[in-house]
Amino acid sequence: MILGTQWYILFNVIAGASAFPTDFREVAASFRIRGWRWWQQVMLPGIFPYYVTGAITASGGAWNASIVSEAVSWGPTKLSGSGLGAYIARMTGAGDYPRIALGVAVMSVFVITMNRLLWRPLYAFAQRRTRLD
Amino acid sequence: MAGKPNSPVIEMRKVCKAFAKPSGEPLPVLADIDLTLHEGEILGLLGRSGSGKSTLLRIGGGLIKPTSGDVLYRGEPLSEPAEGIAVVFQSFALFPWLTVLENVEAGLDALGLAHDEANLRATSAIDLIGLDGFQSAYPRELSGGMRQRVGFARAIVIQPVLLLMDEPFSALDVLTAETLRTDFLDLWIERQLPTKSVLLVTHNIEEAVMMCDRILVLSANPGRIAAEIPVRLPHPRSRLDAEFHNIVDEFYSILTSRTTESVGAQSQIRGGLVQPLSPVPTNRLAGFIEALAAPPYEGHAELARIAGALGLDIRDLFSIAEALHILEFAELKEGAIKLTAAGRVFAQSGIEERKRLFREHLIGFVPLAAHIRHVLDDREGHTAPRVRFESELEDHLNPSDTEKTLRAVIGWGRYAELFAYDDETKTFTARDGSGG
Repeated sequence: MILGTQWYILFNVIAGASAFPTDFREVAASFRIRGWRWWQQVMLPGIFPYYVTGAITASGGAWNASIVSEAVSWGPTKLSGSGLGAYIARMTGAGDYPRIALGVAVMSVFVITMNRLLWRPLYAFAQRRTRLD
Repeated sequence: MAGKPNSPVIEMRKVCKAFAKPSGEPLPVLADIDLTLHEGEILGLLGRSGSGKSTLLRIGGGLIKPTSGDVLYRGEPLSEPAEGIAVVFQSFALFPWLTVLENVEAGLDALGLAHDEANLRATSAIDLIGLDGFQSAYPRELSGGMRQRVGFARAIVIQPVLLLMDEPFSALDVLTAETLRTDFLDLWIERQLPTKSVLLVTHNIEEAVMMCDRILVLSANPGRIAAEIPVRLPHPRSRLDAEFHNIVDEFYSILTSRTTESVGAQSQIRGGLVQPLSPVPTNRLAGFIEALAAPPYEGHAELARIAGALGLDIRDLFSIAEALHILEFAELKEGAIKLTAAGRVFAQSGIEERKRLFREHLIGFVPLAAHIRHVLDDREGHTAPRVRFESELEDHLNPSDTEKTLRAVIGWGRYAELFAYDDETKTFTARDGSGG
């Protein structure tokens, strides 16, 4: 899962690093901010919002993939784990509509909770920290 | 500080700088710069955009290496940012994720001071520059003027020998800029700053005359030192002073003669085809002609006066004046601008007549416009792609000047109904200027 989603983060961070303002680079160079302090005060805060954007996309992708991969069928071979994805797949197979709805609802609640509690605050924080006005 | 020249802080000998063009050829931006900055001196670098003045400042700060020539800082060759040199940036360049205090302390980083010592020095720099009480604020909470004060505090906290200022007041509104300038000058004159010398890059003539002990005028393409003028007025200086006015006027004359010379020189290269143009909107040109034709100027004005009256800064003023000079609607001479006969007719004409006149002058005096039209007329379908002209220009101009020149000629060509341009397909199409 991590292998599959690291690209989201990587490409966002690369985009962030290349969009890093020349002025900030020049400030760091002229005040001779180097080494660990350069990472801590200049580069990491600068690419942080890009990292968060990448991480949101990545976690969405990873979660999707994990739900789907709980119930895999390939021809006659059926693999099934235990979890929300498998639950929804099983109920779909059985045609139990109320339980499908329950599964989907639980999944939606999960997504919304994650969003509200983790990603939104993190994103807002990143935006606030790197904006000038 | 009309001080005697002391020991040099920075010396440049035969400094040249060229950037690579897309084709790989070198494009010179600075040529044969010789300058010496002495202790106790504020040296101004005045020039229009494209004169390489910011590049020169960065060479002085060790941020850019010259292509050739020597840079000595306190007698030693300078190859990278050195201790004792601080820069104040036009865009302030404060880290938005650090507080005012942390931003100022960031300047001290390389000195490796103990935490308490760094804190003490940062706090006293903040006090000195009038930011007391804002230590824990983030830059986004501050006004432009206060942000630049942080920029100054970050620079003076390292107690620099040399302070490099890259148009530090030009992103501020007029009143804020004036307050900050005066505050800085007060600190400098009272010798409250540990700074030994200042290099100030500006495009604002009055700012230069207000602050500097000596001013170098840079010409453009490539940047060379065109004139050196000492300002021997005592501080505090007043804009109302007659002598102040005389010096300002002297700069306007130098800059106008530079402008007309460079226009003259450019018209020699490939028949003026690659003359760089500034994209001045035609309604600004028309507005300026009208203002110049009306009383009290009656067709003739000193640039310093009309700039003040119309509230134009010198970049805008010289782009307009140069465009009118090239189009032969006005003539630039010794710090003054005078409408030509065509300019006077233009001022009195209606819309259609103005367009017709503008079209005549565009074809007659802007070889690039005539060339584009000629190519369009020769071609089947009367269209031509933008790249065709772009590549011709790029042999002589840098990409940014090429872009500006094309933008200018497109705007003027559209107004004159000489040709149309589609930005989606990047093609020119011929138009017949019969008002259709």
